Amino acid sequence: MFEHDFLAPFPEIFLINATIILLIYEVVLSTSKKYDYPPLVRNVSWLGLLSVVRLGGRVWENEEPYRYLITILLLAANAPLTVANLFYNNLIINNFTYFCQIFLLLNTASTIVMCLDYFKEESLNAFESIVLILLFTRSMLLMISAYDLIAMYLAIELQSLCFYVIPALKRDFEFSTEAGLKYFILGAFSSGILLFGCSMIYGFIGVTNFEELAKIFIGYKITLFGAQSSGIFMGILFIAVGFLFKITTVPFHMWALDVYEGSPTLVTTFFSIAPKISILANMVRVFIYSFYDPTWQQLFFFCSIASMILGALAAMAQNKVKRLLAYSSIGHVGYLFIGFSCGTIEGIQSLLIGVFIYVLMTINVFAIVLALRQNCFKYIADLGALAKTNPILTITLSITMFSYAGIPPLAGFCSKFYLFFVALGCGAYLLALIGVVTIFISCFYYIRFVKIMYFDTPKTWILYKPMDREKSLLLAITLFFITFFFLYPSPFFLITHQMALSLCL
Amino acid sequence: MLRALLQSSLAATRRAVAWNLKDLTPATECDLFKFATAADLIQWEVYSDAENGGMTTASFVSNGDLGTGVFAGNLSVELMEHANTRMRRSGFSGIRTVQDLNLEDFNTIAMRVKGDGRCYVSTIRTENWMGAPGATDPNTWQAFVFAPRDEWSVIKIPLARYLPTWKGKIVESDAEMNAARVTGMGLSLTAEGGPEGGEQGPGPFRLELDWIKALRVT
Repeated sequence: MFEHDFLAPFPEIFLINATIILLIYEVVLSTSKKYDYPPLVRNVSWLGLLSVVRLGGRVWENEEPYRYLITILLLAANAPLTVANLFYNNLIINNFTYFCQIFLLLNTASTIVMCLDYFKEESLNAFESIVLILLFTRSMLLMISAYDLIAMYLAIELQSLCFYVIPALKRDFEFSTEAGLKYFILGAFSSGILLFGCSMIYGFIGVTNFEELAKIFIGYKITLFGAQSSGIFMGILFIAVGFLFKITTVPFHMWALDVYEGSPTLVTTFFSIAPKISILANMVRVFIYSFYDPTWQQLFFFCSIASMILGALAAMAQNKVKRLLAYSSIGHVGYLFIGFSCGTIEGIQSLLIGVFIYVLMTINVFAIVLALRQNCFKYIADLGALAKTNPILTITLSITMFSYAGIPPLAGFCSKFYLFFVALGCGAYLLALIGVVTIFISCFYYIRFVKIMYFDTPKTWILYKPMDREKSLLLAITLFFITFFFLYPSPFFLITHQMALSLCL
Repeated sequence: MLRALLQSSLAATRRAVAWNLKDLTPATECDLFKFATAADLIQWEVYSDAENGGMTTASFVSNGDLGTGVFAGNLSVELMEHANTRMRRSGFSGIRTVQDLNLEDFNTIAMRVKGDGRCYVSTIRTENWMGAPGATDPNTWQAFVFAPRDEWSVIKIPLARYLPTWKGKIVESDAEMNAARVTGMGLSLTAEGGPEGGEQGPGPFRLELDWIKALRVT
C-alpha cells in the first residue's frame, strides 16, 4: 500500500498541507501585534489560488508529457499513476476522476479569483473563508475519487462541514446566519438519510465497495415488491434522497432558495458551481456503476421533470437576482438529470458536457453579479439602462443569458441539444418534450434581462464602478468559451466520451 | 379557493409575460400603520413604569376628528411605596405592537408626528437567530426620533441608523438588521437620558401620530 497509495493522491495531500500551513500563517500573523494585526484576506486569497493551481496536471504514463490546463495553471505534481485503486479499494483514480478533479480545481480557482475583490468591497476580513474553500475543494477531490460507501460518506461530510460554515460568513448579519442555520439543519438531515441508506446496504449485503456492489447487482432486480430486496431498495432509495437533497432537485429543493439568497454572493456562487460537479460525479458512480437498475430511472425522471418545470415557472415570478439564479440553477439540474437518468454512455457524456457548460455560464453570471453589487444590485430592475452606462458588460450578460436560454449557436444550446438528443436516443420522449417546453418558458425570464438592460430606463440611474482586472479576465475567458464553443467542440466531446467510457468499462 | 389560485396564477403569468419594469421594481412605499380609528389602535399596547411600581401615567387614544392617534401621559421619576425594588430607574413609557413585517425591500422608516419637543425612541424588534437555544427575546434596534413641538413633520429614519440595543444600552457591534424578520415596532420615551436639544425631565408628554410608513429611498 505504501508504495503507490500515498504517491497517487499527492495533489490532495499537497492541498491539505498547503491549507494547514496557510491556516497557521494567517492565524499567527493576523494576531501579531508586531505587524499591527494585518488584514490578510487578500494575501491568503492569492496564496490559496496559488495552491489550487499548483494541483492541476498529471503526466500520462509511458507517453509524452501532456500538460492540460495550459491557460492558467502552473505545472504541478506529476503523479506517475493515472489508473489506480488506492487504500484497499477505497479510492480510485481513472480518467473520469482525473478530468473531474481538474475541472473542479479550475472552478475553485475561478471562485477564489472572484473573491479577491469581494472581501475588499465588503470590508470583510474573513480569511478563514479561503481556508474553508480549500478544505472544501480537498473534500470534493476525495469525493470524486471515492470508491467505497464509507469513503464517499466521509468525503461528503468533510465537504458539508465546510459548507455549513460559509453561508454564515457575514457574522453580523442575521439573514446570513439564518441561511447558515437552515443549510446546517437540512444538510445534516440529508447526510443522516444518506448514511442510513449506506448502513442498510451494508446490513443487507455486507459490502460497501462500489466494485463489489456492481458485481452483486448485475442481473439482480431491485424492486419494491421483491421480498428479499426491500431492504436493499430502501437503502438505495435513502441514498438517492440524500443525494437529491444535496443537488437541490425538486422536491428536495426548498432549502436552496433561502440559503442562496441569505448567503453572501460569493458563497452563493460557490454553492451554484462546486457541489454540482462532485455530487453528480459521485451519483454517476453510485447509480450507474454500482446500483444500475431501471427502478431508479423512474425516480430520476420524475426529479428531472419536476426540476425543469419548477425552475422555469417559479423563476418567472422572481424579481430578485439571486433568487432567480437559484431557480435557474434548480432548472439546470433538471436538464442535467436528463443525461443522468438515461443511464447510457452517451447520457453520462451529455451530463458531463452539460455540467461543464453550465458551470462556465454560472461563473460568468456570478462574476457580473459580483461586479455590479457595489451599488447593492439586488433586483433585476436595477439593471435598467445598463447598456448606456456599461455596454461591454451588457453584451457579456446578454450573451450569457442567451446561452442560458439555449439560443444557438452558443454553448448552452450545444449542451441542451446533446442532452435532448440522448433522451430521444434512449426513448425518453416525454423528458425531451418537457425539456423543450421548459426551455421555451425559461426564455421569458432570461431574455427579460436583455430587454431591461437595453430598453428600460429606471427611475434612478445606477452608475457602476469599473470592475477589477481579475474578474474582467475571468469574464473574458468564460465569454470566449461560451461564444466560440460551437466552432471546435470535438476535443471536449472526446474528453467527455473518454471519461464516460472509463466509468463504464 | 381554486378560483383565487387561478386568478393569482393568471395575474402572475400576465406580469411575467408583460415585461413591465414596474412589476419587477419593488414598491417604494408601504403603509405600515395608520392611527385613524380605535380599531387601528387596538394592536398597540401601552406600557410604562407603573407596571413595576412607578407613577407614570400613559394612554394611547384616537383623536377621531383628525384621524390620528395620541400617545400622552405624565412622566414621573418617583416610585410607589411598595414598588418593585429591582427597578432602579423610573420615568419611562411607550407603545408597542407585535406584528410580523417584511421590510426587506425598504431602507427607511417614515412617520408623520406632532410632538412636544421631547426626544422619543423608535424601536424595531427582529427575530433573534443568534440567541441561546429556546431564547425568545427578539433583537431590539432603536433610533432617536426628535418630534418638534406643536408642528406636524415627517420624520425619516434610515434603517441603517437603528442601533442594536439591549435593555436600553447600545450593544457595541457592527450588526446589520435583518429587515425581513421584523416582529414588532414601538415608540417610547424616558424622563432622563436622550440627546441634547430635546426636552427632558418628568412631566406631561404628548405625541400625535398620523401614520408610519416604510420607504425605499435611493
